[in-house]
Amino acid sequence: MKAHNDFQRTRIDSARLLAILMLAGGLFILVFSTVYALSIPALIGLGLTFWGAILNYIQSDDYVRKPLLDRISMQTLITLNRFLYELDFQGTAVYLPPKYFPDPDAVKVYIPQRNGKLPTPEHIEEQDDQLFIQNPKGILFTPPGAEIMKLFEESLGTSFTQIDLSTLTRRLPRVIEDVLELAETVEIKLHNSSIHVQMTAPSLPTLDSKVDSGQPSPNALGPHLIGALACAFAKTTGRPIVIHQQHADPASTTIEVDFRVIDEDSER
Amino acid sequence: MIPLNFWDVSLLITMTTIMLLITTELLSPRYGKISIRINRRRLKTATLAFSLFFLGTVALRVVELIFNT
Repeated sequence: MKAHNDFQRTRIDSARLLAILMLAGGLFILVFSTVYALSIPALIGLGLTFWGAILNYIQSDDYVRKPLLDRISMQTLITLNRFLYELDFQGTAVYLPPKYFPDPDAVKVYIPQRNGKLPTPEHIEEQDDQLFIQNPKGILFTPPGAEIMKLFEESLGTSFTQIDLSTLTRRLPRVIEDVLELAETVEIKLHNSSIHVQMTAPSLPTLDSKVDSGQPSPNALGPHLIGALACAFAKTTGRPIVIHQQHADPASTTIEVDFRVIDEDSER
Repeated sequence: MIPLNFWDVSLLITMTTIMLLITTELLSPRYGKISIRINRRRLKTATLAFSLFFLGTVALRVVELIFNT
């Protein structure tokens, strides 16, 4: 593994070196051709300078191979869902907004043992530092998509608590499509108490296609990106969010997800 | 002075723009076996900048033609 990393680094460093040599060589030839008034070397020098500058400018990102990333992320999720099933937490996952926690930026997921009434913010806040909460029995933890949601916020340059849902609907698709390149198209539609998201994302692994036959709960945690969207909606609306329905069409690589915004007053 | 006229530079910019546009469109974000790590956003920015340079030279050419006739 180390040898492979060294080899990769050498190849990448040599690419960087090549770009610098092209730039330096191009500038040298350009100066030389100017001094001796040679037009062909000037053309070559200018071309090398352009390409050297472009190659220097565009080389910077770190990429991880997609199959590797898929396997790491999906296996973690499957294991987490398996744990929840074995521990007998079979309620629907509810993404709670920051008002439930002392930290004004926190978003956590609450999974009750059985579906029932949602605890009050005060009740959750009292047990915020615990994984397992009581009365009603449930589990409270930071969802796998929370870090991706922070990445969304960094890309937008604002906290989701500072913007409203219509602004989020307008700005978030651009971040997912163009800045982070997580999906080719993203469409967010608002209905009365639900949010419909349609994504075309060939690179997004779907839980349905990867889950082993023993996968238990239909309320299991979804892929990281969907979890991140749920966190973003919870933070923006200030209300709990549930992933109501998700449907993946592998043929068209389209994923449709319905998020439901919970009215806490009617739930209790 | 660089021994190149405006149209030589324009031709070079045109060729560079075409190559960049093709590269930007063909580049796969999911192909893992790479030896040069490319920031696709920066590549798009560079392509856009070169395209604007190219369109600028075309505009200059059009202006020149209009004023010469």
